[in-house]
Amino acid sequence: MTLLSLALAPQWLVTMLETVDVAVLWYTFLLNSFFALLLFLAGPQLFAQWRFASEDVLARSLTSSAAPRVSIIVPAYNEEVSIVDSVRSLLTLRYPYYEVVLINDGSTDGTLQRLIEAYDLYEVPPAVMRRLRTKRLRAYYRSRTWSRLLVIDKENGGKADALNVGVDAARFPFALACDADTLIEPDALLRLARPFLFDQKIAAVGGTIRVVNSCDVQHGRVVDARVDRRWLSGVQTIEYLRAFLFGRLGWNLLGGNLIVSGAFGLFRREYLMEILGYTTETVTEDFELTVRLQRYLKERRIKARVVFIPDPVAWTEVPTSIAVFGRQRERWHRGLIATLVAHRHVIFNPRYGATGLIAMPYFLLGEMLAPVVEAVGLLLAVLGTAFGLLAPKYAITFFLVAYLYGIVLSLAALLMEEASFHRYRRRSDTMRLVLFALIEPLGYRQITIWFRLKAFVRYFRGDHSWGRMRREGFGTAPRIPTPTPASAPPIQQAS
Amino acid sequence: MPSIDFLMRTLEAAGVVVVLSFISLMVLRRRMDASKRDIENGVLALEPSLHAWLVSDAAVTPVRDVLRGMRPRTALRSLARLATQQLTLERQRALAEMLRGEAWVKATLRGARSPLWWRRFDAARLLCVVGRAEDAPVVSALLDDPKAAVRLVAIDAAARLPGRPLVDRELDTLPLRQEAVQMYQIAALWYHPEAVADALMQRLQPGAPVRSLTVWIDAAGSLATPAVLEHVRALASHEDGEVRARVASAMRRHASPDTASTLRRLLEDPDWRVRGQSARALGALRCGLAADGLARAVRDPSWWVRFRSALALAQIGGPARDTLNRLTRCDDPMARDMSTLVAGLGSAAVVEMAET
Repeated sequence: MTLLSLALAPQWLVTMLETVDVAVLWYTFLLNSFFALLLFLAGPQLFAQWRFASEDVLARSLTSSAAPRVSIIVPAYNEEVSIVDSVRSLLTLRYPYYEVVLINDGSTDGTLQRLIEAYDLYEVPPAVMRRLRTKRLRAYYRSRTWSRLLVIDKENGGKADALNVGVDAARFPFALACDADTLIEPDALLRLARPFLFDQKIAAVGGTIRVVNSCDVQHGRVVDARVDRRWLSGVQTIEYLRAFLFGRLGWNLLGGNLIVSGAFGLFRREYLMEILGYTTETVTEDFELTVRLQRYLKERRIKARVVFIPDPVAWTEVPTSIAVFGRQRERWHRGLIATLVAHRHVIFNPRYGATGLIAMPYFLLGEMLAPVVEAVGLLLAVLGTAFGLLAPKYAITFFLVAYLYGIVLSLAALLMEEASFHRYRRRSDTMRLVLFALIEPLGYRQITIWFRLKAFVRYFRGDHSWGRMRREGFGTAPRIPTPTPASAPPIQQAS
Repeated sequence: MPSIDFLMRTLEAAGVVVVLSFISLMVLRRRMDASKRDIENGVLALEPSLHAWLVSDAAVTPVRDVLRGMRPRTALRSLARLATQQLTLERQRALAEMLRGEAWVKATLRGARSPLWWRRFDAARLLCVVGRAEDAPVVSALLDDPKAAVRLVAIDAAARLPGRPLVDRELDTLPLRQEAVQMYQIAALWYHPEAVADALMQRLQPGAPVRSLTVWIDAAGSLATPAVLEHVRALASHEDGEVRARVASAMRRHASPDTASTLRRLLEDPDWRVRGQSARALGALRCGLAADGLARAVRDPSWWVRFRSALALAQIGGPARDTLNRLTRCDDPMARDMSTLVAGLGSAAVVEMAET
């Protein structure tokens, strides 16, 4: 059976289509094989991490003095509805040595006033060392009731700028970047500190982000994990599972973890200071920071690792409207393009080891160019079929293979989740996840391609804006519109 | 270009994988639910008999019998979970004697020599509860395990062995570990204070390598045995600044007139790390005689020294607190800012900040 009906088209068109078709097929084959490799690498690691997460081992770590000292850095912008609960949940984590540095990034609502009232804040002089350049700081506050809390009020400068203020003001050797609207599980910090006990030099550790929409949240804690019934957030739930459970775990063994989520990532502060903190020039500061950190480590020949571990969990809200979702995905992809362009000399550069030879090329070919290749493939399939150049049976079969392969990856992520951490206790939630895995390639994927393509246009126009996000709030909190220079979810990976 | 036949075969294979994945998911879910229930039930079944034995003169045999009735994995996990939280060293040794003859214990401990790391991991976890002096060679091998998680648990297993079979070995390997593991290992050594004190006193010599010396000083500070801390104090004139800083830090657990004078001298040290740690130690010891020196140190060029000194004045309280309050109105802007920062803190906050 041949693909093309040669009699219906000029030879040059047939040759061109055939060449592009072969390229798209090879691309699909290689990319999917790479995902299969990540999956293969992630399995044993997930098993190991699940065993290490035994309660007795964790309990011993907690009671020993070995837990590293951590400064939790929380940028906040117009979070007056949830800020008091969010901070309280951070102040009551199950961890022996930490402080919370909250940066009010020029909020125009009552965020700061709420904090002053709830935590009995008093203004103190700016007696901290300033090493990073940031927007002007207005005031420092300490709490009379919670010595762990430091609040810094500053002019609005965006999330990266606020994080830099926090990195500068932190007292402890490790900094945990965390969004004000992210809910950290009580023992997540303890779990996140586990790699430090494994006798390795660690530069950064990332944990898992899960989708909080529809979960039962009480006093800033997720007490019952549920899967949202709505299509858009449900599909994102399975997407997050896939990205974190085998995407990032797989990268641990390939030596090139390039994303430590900005919503929940622990960094050795001395390295953050060495690389001058977050850059304010990008819209995906977490990805850019990790790439720069990996570069720094490789250039200085520092044998410190950037690792991901799956069991520390933070919960975040995902968009439930197509418009907001589109802005988010467009921004993530624009940030990805900007970062890859900025660090282009790392790509295929053996000096940077696995980062230069595997991770960066993957992000270029498998992430940045993916929407272009997929769009071309889709367009060719439609046009080829319409003009009789592509046998319909062939097109349908190819589509089904790609569809089933996508489902296999999602089901594999779900299997890994069930075999290890098993957060969704109800059978109905598992069935819902299976359903979302089945429907994800039909529509959702194509919509995502569209928004990611738009990112190229906006990137080449030199657009650096974040766009507006609309958050629903946790539990029964009222809906509030919130611009988000200070609260961004992580960049997508291995989807 | 792949042929349609190839695509069809791929499609069939993918279809089979999807169906198999779905079936596995359902089976796995059922198994995981059952396993979780099993462990929860195991803990619930074990807790009453263990508790009765711990708080009264009840016999230990019901504990053994409950464990015997469980599957080995459930028994291990239930015991490990409860034993970590509840057992004293003496009770644990009594339990070890009782359990060593059990088939499930023998089977799990045989895993210490398994090529599969998770069996060695489980063996190490069980040795934390049932380890005896004759297990020292096994635990020693586990301390060198290629898997870091096994090594970590073996540190605990070693700490709980009676006598001092592995104390020297652990102290000698301490400088080779990463900082967090050092801290973990030092905490585990608390189980053998006398043996560790003897071993440390032999090692705390001025001629010892600096890297080792700093770690042993930390261990001595953590152990806080007066005789060992006297050996530490003798190193206060060491030529290496890092060593002197660790000495100053360790001294905060050693309340004696000699300590105070040593620390006051170290507060004038050319190395800012030493001055900062001395200020911290003087605060922890509530050394009122050091108030004047600390007030001068609040004007130190180093931020950390100013911070530690201001905290120390707040910690000492009384006249020292008055000195701190006066500094909030002094002419030196850096000293004024720092003292204002600390003067506003509540007493609990001062202690917490000074300790971390």
